[in-house]
Amino acid sequence: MMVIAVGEASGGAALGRCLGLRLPAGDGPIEVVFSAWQWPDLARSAGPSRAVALTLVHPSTYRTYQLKGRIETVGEGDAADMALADDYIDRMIGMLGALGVERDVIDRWCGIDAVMRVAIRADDLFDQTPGPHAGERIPA
Amino acid sequence: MSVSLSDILDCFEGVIPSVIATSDGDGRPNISYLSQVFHVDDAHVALSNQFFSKTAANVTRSGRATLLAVDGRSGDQYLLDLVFVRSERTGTLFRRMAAHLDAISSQHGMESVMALRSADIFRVEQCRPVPSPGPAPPPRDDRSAPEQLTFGAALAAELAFESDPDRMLDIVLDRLTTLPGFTNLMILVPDGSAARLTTLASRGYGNTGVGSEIAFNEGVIGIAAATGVAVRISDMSRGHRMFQAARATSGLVAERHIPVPGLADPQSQLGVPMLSRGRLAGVLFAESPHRFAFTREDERMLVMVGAQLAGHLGAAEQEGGDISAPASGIEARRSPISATGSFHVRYFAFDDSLFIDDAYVIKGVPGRLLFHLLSIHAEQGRIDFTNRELRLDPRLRLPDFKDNLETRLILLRRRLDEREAPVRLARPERGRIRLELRGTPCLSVISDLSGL
Repeated sequence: MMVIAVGEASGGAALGRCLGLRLPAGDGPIEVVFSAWQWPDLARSAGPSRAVALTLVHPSTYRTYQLKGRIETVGEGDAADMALADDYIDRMIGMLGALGVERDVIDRWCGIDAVMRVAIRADDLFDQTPGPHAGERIPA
Repeated sequence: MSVSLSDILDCFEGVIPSVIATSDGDGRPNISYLSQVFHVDDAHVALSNQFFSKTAANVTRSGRATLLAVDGRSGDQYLLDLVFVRSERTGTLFRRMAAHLDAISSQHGMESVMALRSADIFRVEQCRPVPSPGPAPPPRDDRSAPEQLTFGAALAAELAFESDPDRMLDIVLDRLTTLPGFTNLMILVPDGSAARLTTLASRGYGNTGVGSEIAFNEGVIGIAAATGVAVRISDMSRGHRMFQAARATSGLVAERHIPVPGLADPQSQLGVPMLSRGRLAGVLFAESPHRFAFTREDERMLVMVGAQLAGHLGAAEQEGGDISAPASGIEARRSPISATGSFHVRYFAFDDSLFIDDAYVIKGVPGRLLFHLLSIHAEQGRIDFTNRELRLDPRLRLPDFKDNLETRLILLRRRLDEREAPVRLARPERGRIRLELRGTPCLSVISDLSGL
């Protein structure tokens, strides 16, 4: 599962759940998609050059990574982004369902209206798995 | 739109991890996951500060954070704007959060890495619902606080009229099983060393498990005992089950092992310490195969009932049984053994364990007690005894006046009944014990383990 947060000057952050991630070809940015309908604060805050954090959690093992960087571009999702979100949701339902999370519960997290795509240029990666190595930077 | 925290209490059950996001001085965000968000009151929450140092630094700098809380029952999500108030490292809230974190950590096998540093209290400036697709979940059908208060008061009143501790245990368990969801119950009591708890009574299991043991700090029961704090887990689907961690036993330990009567696949557990005058008298435990089986109102009701039971058991312990003179018609009765034949009783001095015809019965003080009674019977033919003489007999090495003799006799009597043993304990009246024998006991003491 993935959560994205955009920093706020106040000290808080705008955050929301992502609906998929696309790894870059070559040295391009990472792309993630989320629902602007479900996460309007995030949609308002997400803009080019804004500082961003993204966590990726494997729900059955708690293996967790946090990536930090800046947003390069923001745009409306297209058909490929919708397909990415659909595939992600299917896999999340399978993975969380196997852990006993009910389908009705998962559905509440999967708004797919007004999908937005955010391209992120990552500059740091941290291990955030609970345990003694939580917070350690992972070398590039 | 701001939502009242009291309307989203299921977000604070610790089922789905919450997410906290903060930013540093450069506006660079940081995300952490939280085991626990506690509802303090309608304006405050407490977060478990475990290991997220970057979050702590950001909060120290700005005093602000954003929290994503998730209702584990419906899946509904809420964004909370938080302002830091203070950290607590002692006190009731800290102890409650530490106990819950211990329970969650042990469930997930992370005891060693998830220690609570502090309970960080935040004021909630705003709580906004996250739009969710699909139909809203149906309203919950929980027992209300007034219903549970009424139930608890009625049970307390019934206990107040009972003087027999044995009956008290049955009243509590039998009344609780009338509540929906309270299908599987246990009452456990601490042993003399305060290191283990022994099952005294249960409901809802194929095997009562009387005499089975759980270590302090082990699972919900052990943590409730060790911390003196009620522990409630509403969804165990993702963790290790308490009784799955059945110890690999062998040799002496296996021979003396009675299986704890737990559900194979519990989803909810609630352990409540039975406290009286600052002392742990036992643990009242409920579990269910269903998620969210027990509400915070159930927890409060059980705390009330547990305290009542502890107080009454303590009072019965103090007054029960100090009858010095045998009652007329009872004195000097000699054993009418109701069957011919004999049975073998082996007593192991190193752990006070007792076997009848090679089958393990019990160990510890109850084992010592039974062997003592049988030894006197063998010497003098007596079958009637008083609690008072047992308390005063130095050979029994009872700890002191807080010896919980009544409780240990109940445990022993129930264990013998369950085993359908050829020796049973009857109670012709309060403060008296009578041996009922089916056959002649042949006693032997094993004091040298090398012969095993």
